[in-house]
Amino acid sequence: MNFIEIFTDAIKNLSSNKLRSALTMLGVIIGVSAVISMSSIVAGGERMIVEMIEKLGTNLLSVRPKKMDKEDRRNTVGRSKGLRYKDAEIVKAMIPHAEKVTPVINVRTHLRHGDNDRSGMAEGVLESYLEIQNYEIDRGRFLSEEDTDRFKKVAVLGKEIVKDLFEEEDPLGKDLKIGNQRFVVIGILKEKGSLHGINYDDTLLIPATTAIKLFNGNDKLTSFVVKVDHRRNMKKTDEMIRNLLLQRHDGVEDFVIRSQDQLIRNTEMIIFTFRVILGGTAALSLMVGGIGIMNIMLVTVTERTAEIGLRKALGASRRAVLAQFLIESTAISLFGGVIGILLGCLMGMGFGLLASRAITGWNAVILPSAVFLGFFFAMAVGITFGLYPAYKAARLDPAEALRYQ
Amino acid sequence: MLIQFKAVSKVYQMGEVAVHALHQNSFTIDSGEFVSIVGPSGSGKTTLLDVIGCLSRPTNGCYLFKEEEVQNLSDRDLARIRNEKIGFIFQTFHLLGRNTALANVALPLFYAGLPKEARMARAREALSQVGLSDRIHHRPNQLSGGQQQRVAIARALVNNPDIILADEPTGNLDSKSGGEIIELLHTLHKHGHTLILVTHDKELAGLTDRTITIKDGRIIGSEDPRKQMEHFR
Repeated sequence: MNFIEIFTDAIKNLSSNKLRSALTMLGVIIGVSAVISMSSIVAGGERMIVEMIEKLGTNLLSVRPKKMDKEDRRNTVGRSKGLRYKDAEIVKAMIPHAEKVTPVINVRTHLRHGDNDRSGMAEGVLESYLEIQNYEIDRGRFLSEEDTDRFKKVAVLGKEIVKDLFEEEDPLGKDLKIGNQRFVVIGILKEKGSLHGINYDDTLLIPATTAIKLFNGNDKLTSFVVKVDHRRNMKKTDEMIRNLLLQRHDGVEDFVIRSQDQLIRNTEMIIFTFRVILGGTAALSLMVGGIGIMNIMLVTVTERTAEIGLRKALGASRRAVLAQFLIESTAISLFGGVIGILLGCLMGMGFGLLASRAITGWNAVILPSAVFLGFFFAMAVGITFGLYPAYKAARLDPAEALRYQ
Repeated sequence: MLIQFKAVSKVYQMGEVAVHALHQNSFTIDSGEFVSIVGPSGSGKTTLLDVIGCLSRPTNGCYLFKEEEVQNLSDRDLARIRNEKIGFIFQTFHLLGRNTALANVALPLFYAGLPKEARMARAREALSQVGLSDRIHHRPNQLSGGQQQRVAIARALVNNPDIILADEPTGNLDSKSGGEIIELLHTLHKHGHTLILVTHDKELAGLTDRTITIKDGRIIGSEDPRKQMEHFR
């Protein structure tokens, strides 16, 4: 049997009833384009979030003091002094996978330059902070070891602070009042955007030692951040830091260790849920498209009963008749699938354009796997739902079919 | 002996009622004969044609077609016999409207599995046999009734069948083109083809070698045409 000839014959049949064929294809077109456009927009969202998280750094552990209630405090009084500068240093020295460590000392205060002032927060950090948090220097330089050692009054600013305090002015080398201390601006950070409600450009960094000396008077830490050498060592390192700190804090667990890993996993869960919901919707619409195909193929078989009778009289076997109608329904889904792919890509890009207007960085990502999957399911639908009508045609009695009016 | 019926019956089960369309009929047809089957409508002549043409199997009895016992054959074998050994001509022509005359004629060869070039060559030849060489690319709706029936005859000829079955071939034609069709059938007979003509037109039946008369599912005469006419008187 010559499949190509049956196929061209099927196309001839389909094009002899264009409106009907087009309407039948519509179900498949909608289904396939839904699969592709939905998946492209979800994939785009996923890529955006993953990129953002990666920008923040993926293998970070953050150690903060734990909020203790009165009861706990009474029980542990005098045993632990809380999270101190030395804790961060010891972790850096003792934990093998802790590649980089920076203490963070937040100083909530008043910022002023010339006539512009606002409240804000200065973070006392070490020079390793730049790499740990994946910041980049736009202009000037970052904090250095020398700044730390000498308690220098220098500051590195994020774009948001620059905008608020300096407006159009070039802040490099200018004065900035933090509280009532005069600092010199030595560097400006590249923009990083925001995630989960935190604006990473609203940042003001000063040497940790300066923060301790000028503002806090003690070396208590807001937190300290550890960059682990590899993502697979996260759990192990987490455990080792916990043990080390417990030892130093006389067994009092007055700290918590958090990781970015958790954040990524949560995000992945959300994206997975979206996938399931959208994928299910698209699969349902493909199913409906398949039912449309079945419906039309049943009508076609009835309409063409006499033709089937003739073909059988001329020697067509059941298999030949089955193949003819199956190829016809597959042709519907094939063309529907191809049109659906084109339409789906267009729709995905359109959605992506809308999404990128609403949220910067959210673009459509057309996945080859989604295109392939959409096409595969379209074909499967055509074959599955074409099977029964084709079987019905193949089973017709030749003598009866010939004389069907 | 090409066709041999031995006590062949055909029963249709219509719900509770069994309809005996054919009743214990026995006869033979030899190669090269031109036989007509006549009878009033509802007499069973269409059923008889279906059984001869291997479109349906007899319920009881034995049907030998070229020594093969048709009643025992599978659907696939019946399809093969229809494809290779039988040519059909119908009252309503049964041409595929989407296809050209050439494609219509070539259709049986497609199911025989011939390559395209061979199919087209043989279809052209068959069309020239019926005098339609200049109409091969026309579609049925561009042809007259008589021409359409000639396309159908070419299609019946194309597989070089052992027998050609014509079911009221002139029923949808005016008398002039009907006459041409009958003439064509006689020409085919002269060239050695075996033909069976089903008709209720006794005049047409009178032109064949032999007439089988059927009534209420039973063959009541298988005689020389002149005697046949007497029988009806």
